[in-house]
Amino acid sequence: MKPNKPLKKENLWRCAAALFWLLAWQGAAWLLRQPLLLSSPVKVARRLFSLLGESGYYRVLGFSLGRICLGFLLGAALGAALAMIAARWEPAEYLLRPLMVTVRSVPVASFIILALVWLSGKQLNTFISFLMVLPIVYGNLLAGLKSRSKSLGEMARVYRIPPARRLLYIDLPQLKPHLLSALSLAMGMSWKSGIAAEVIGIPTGSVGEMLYQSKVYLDTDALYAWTLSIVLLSVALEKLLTFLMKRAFARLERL
Amino acid sequence: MIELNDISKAFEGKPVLAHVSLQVPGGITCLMGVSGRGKTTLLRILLGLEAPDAGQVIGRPERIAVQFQEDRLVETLTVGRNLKLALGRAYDEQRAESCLTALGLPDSLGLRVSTLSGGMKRRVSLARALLFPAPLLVLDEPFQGLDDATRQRAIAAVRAYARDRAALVVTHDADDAAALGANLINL
Repeated sequence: MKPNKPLKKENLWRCAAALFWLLAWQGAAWLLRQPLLLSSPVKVARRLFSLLGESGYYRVLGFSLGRICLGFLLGAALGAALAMIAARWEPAEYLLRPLMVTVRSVPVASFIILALVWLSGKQLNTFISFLMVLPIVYGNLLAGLKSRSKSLGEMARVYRIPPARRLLYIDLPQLKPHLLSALSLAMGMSWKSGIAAEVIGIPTGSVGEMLYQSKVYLDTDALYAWTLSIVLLSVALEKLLTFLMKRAFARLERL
Repeated sequence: MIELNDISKAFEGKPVLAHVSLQVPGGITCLMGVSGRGKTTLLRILLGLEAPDAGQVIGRPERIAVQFQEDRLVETLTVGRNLKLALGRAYDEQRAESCLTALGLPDSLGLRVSTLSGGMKRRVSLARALLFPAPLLVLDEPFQGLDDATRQRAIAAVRAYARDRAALVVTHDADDAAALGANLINL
């Protein structure tokens, strides 16, 4: 029972903080009295609820979500594969380092504009989210692979544990914290960068297009409502991913 | 018979082993010597985990059962899972339970390794080596950190499980070597 008490208190503080900032937002909107510049939370909530009743809203979210998640999965898979190669073969790490540093350092807007020359607006969000995820997963996983226990590796070698069992029971538990932090960070980044790519590439029927149109038609309430949708979906995806991964690791330990 | 012939090894120019030769016959052999004489390095060379600068190992079996100086158990898994991981198809739950009972750890197969004390982990790693089917058993300080009663149980278990194979045991303790009824090699 003891651990519940601080948890309850923590939740109370979280709610109080959220309420404080909502009131501050409402107060600022009321003082400014310029709905075009700053929409009030009440208006945004109303607009969001009206969007929730439209079937087009889910179609738009699905369009962006599908493409961005595809980029996330491709980036995570390639990042993991490259990290495994680099951990086994040092020259690969040196070869990949300039590429990863470049991808990490170049502003996402530059990549979006450069990629627009090669790709259509519809493919852009997938490519940009792939590009943002790749170095995060690669870097974190490589650090995890390098910090694996050498002594357990020797034990596995002497006892001739097959590679698949070694990966499942010895390597993966050690990589768990690295994987969890890499994937949750990459998920947030891919979502944000993917939407940014859509705003510039404006593929038809995307969240980016909705944001762009809201700006063009000076529909500030819609702009805020779509932005709120992006934030909520990003948080939900991150939580879902963390939950699924923790569950998968727990199941692995019980196998 | 396993032979280590004229083994030399240095780390960063510092010689650890210089022209060491020894034979591991059948039965239990205790490798003794004060700390820093290179006993663990010699075992690592015997296991193929370290290459000697000079000399050779003759007759090294393909499978060797080892208890390392550290426990080297997967903390996130249970005792049973750790044994199954190392033993693979050779894992037999009844045999594992009886070995653990002989070592004073009855009903521990389902316990997670991270919840065990140091002495319990030491015995689980000893059980893993004893249960592993291999013609050579190598134990590096197997009784370290065990109290007298548990040490006696562990010695009896090693004697029982080393009956049909060669065993090389590293120890500082002459009493343990005598209790094991071992041949002695001083390094």
